[in-house]
Amino acid sequence: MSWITKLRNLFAKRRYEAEMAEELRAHLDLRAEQLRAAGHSAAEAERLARREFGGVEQIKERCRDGRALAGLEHFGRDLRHAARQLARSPGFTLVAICSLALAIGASTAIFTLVNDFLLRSLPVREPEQLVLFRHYAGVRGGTMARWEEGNSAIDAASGRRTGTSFPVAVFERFRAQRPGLTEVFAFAPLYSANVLIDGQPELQAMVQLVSGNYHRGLGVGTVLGRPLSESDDQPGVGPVAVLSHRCWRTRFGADPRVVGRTFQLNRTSVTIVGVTPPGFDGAMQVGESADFTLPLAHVRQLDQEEGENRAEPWCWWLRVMGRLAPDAGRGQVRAGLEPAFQQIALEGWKAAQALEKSPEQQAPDLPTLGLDPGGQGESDTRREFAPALHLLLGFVGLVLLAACANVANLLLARGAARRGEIAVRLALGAARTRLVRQLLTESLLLATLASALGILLAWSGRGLLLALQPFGQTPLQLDLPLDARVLGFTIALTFATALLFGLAPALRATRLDLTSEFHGTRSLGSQPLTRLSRALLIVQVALSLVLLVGTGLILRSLWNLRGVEPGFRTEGLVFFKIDGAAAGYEKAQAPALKERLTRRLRQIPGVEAVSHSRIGVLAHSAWRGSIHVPGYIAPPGAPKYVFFHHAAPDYFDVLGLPLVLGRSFTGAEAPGDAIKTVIINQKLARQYFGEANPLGRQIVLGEADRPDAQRAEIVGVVRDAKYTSLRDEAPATIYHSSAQFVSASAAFVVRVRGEASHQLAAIRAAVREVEPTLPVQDLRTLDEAIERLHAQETLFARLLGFFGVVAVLLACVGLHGLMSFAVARRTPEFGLRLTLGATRANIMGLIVRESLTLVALGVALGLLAAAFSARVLQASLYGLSSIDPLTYAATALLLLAVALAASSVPALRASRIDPARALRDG
Amino acid sequence: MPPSDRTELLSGTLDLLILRVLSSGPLHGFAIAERIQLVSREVLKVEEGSLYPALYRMAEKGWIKSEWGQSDKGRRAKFYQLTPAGRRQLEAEKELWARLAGAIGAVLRNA
Repeated sequence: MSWITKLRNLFAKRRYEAEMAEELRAHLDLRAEQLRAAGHSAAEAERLARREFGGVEQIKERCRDGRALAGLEHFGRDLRHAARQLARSPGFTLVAICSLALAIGASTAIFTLVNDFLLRSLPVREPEQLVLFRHYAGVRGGTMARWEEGNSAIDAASGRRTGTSFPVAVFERFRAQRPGLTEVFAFAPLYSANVLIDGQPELQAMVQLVSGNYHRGLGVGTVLGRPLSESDDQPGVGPVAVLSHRCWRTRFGADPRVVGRTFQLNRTSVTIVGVTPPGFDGAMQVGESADFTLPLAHVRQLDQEEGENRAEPWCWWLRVMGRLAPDAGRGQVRAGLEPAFQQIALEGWKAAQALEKSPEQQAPDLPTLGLDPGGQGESDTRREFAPALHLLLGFVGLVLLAACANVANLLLARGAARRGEIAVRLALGAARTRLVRQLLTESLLLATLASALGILLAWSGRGLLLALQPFGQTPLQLDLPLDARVLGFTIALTFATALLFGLAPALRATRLDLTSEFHGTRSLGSQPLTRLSRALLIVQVALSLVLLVGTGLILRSLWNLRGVEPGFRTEGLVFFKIDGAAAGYEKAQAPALKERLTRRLRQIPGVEAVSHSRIGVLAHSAWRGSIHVPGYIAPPGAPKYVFFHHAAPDYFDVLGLPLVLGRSFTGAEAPGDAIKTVIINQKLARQYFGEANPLGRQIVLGEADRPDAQRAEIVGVVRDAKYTSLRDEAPATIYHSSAQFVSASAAFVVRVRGEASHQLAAIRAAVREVEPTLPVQDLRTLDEAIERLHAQETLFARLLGFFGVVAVLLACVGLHGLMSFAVARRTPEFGLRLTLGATRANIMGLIVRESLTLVALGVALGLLAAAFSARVLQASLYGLSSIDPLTYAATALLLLAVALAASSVPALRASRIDPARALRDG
Repeated sequence: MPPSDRTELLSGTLDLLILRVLSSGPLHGFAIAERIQLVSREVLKVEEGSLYPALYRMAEKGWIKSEWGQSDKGRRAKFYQLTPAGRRQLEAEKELWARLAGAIGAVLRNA
């Protein structure tokens, strides 16, 4: 039979049914006729023929089973049946779908984050061929760089410092040699970028400089215009740029004639030549979206601060990637290129030595070369946030389990209510597998509807996750696409949950003793389904407890953090940052700009004082370095680094950070001073000078063997203050004079009277008035700054708390249902007890005791599970342990109280039973 | 179903019998059952509950095909007949059956 016939069978179903009926009818007629011929009466013949024949409908059903596509047809019928069943009990359907949708939606939303952060490859040609170069510093000393940019971390395996930045000379040598590589290309962010589009400054525009072969090497094209090429990457050629799709959409209104338009970048006019496809944001750290991509050749002109040094072999700033040839391995590439890398690194170190005119020193160990898989681009941020994301996945996993337990319990109760229907169908010859399949279809329909709703929730809710900015300081530019992987995840989740919550109830519902079903003798005392229900309820309570304990722990540690004294006066503080270089200020002009800004800001009514430093207070950025104190020998285990800070003369006054010894800066310091002036905090004084007076002592800033080391004299000691985080102790900090270390960027501190947030608009306006093209960055009050420090904890607390409450509510629904069922079942028994002298309080106690026993078991299980699983939260906690007894006890009591309330309704109902009626009806 | 001294058909053998009965010409369902019963001297009784599902299954496999016609009593009925594939299947099943019967016989005689 051809497939066409099969399809026709499916569609010509009515004819098929009619023919089948007629065929069987013909059989009966022929047999009846035969019987009549043998002497039976017509009626008798008909009756006998029918009896011999048996169940016509059953035979038809078995004939249909033989048909092709019968499975599909069954499924369609089951689906319709399931839809009818669900529509018949809207309350159940609503609770089940909503709880599942919340859980599936949360899982999907978190998974979109995980997908974008951890799983997704760059949307480029064959990303698995890409490699990213990385350097490892020698065991002793630094990387030999005089200037280094980019992420730098301690490699866990070797304990050596590692990063992905290289000098231009290394990149050029790699590109020329490229053993085992078909292409070597480079890119780097231009941190100081002031973009003006039609004269308007673009806040937080991200610019990257790339080698001319960048787009070809990555294998990414353009949707408009053309990609960059080597001919763009030549000095003397007019600067051109390729836009990211996001940038084109958000900053140029998806203008189809954008190619050929120009914009200003750091006072240079740049022509747009192309737009890359959607989803491609460059190969920098995850969340760093390269809005504007320009050729490297213009770096000297575009980089106002370090431009002239970018070609130096001691200036490490380029990220270098390559594309492996089909038969090449990373080891081979590494071995081929390491000698060239080490040679250039050494040349750079020597050049830096000569530049600093410092005495000849022994060269530190040579750095080594490493190759990472480059399919995801730079991955340091990715690795940093992986634990938090895994934690979030764990949370939603718990939520999903709780939702499944809840729906399974609801289904069990439904199965009990549908015993009659199921018994009749079994008796009529329906196979148990058919019924199980049908009940599972119902579960699948529930799960599918919930998933559809869940995907909607995830789609609208995923932005909220990012809005909280739990991942670092700068707002991440992420698309969070609902791509095939996310949808696949959700579909797999749908089937898994349907099986998880549907299978046991379906098996239980179809295991019936038909004889007792129809004799009406089913004994009420031996309901096996209640045992499974109880187990599920215990699990539900336990999961809710785990979620709530997690919430409690994080809330308590946020509370603890709130009480932490930062060391300075906290009321009425506003911070913001400016980057003068990007607005076209030379370093030499920067002090005048800061002075003008300070004067203008002081004129705002309500502003008490204004000062500036270079590093923001309690921001994510930090400036660490080493100092050398003559005569000081570091005890083993002492921190290797101290924190550096800049300060204007009145900075300590404005911040409310009192000097405990000596004086502040005078403002008369100058960049040319041979001996710099510094102020240290108490912690540094204790660490390096003990009880001795540090005033007047000379120290060396920077590593003593580094060429850029400088001598400085200590003139004052200030009180300790928190630097980047409230959790960590105030670190040993050294303050430079902002007059001696001139920078075009500054972090302003403004002290205002009254509510700090009311002054934000006035401050922004004042800065604009002084310099219209100067973007105001990270303008926020101290409270906001602190909130942002704890955004991740806040996100955890909100998610855990929200789902904890939902889980508790669902557990209450479950408990109420279970107890109501128990009351209904035991009504005759209660009637008897009341007749025999039990008081109503006795009956209530019976029910309450039963539910509290269940909940107590769940709580006990939950406490164990929480103690075990809360350890993963330890890193997020402050001032308490992950097995904090107070949190555990409070949560357990809360759950017991809620459970008591939930079971009181059925208990009251039990106590109001009329014994006479109960005995009569039972 | 009333208890019967008639032998229940071994599963799978019903297909063989139907194919064999149809190999001598088209028959409708009732006649197939009659014929098997008659030829087996009333030993083999084909239940309608097995016969029709078997016919539908075999039609699905393409061994038999059906068309509507008149029974000898003038009643409209559906007649089944073998297809070439059905003929081949009959040969294969006959051979299988002979081997099986031979084997069982050998065991009964000699074991």
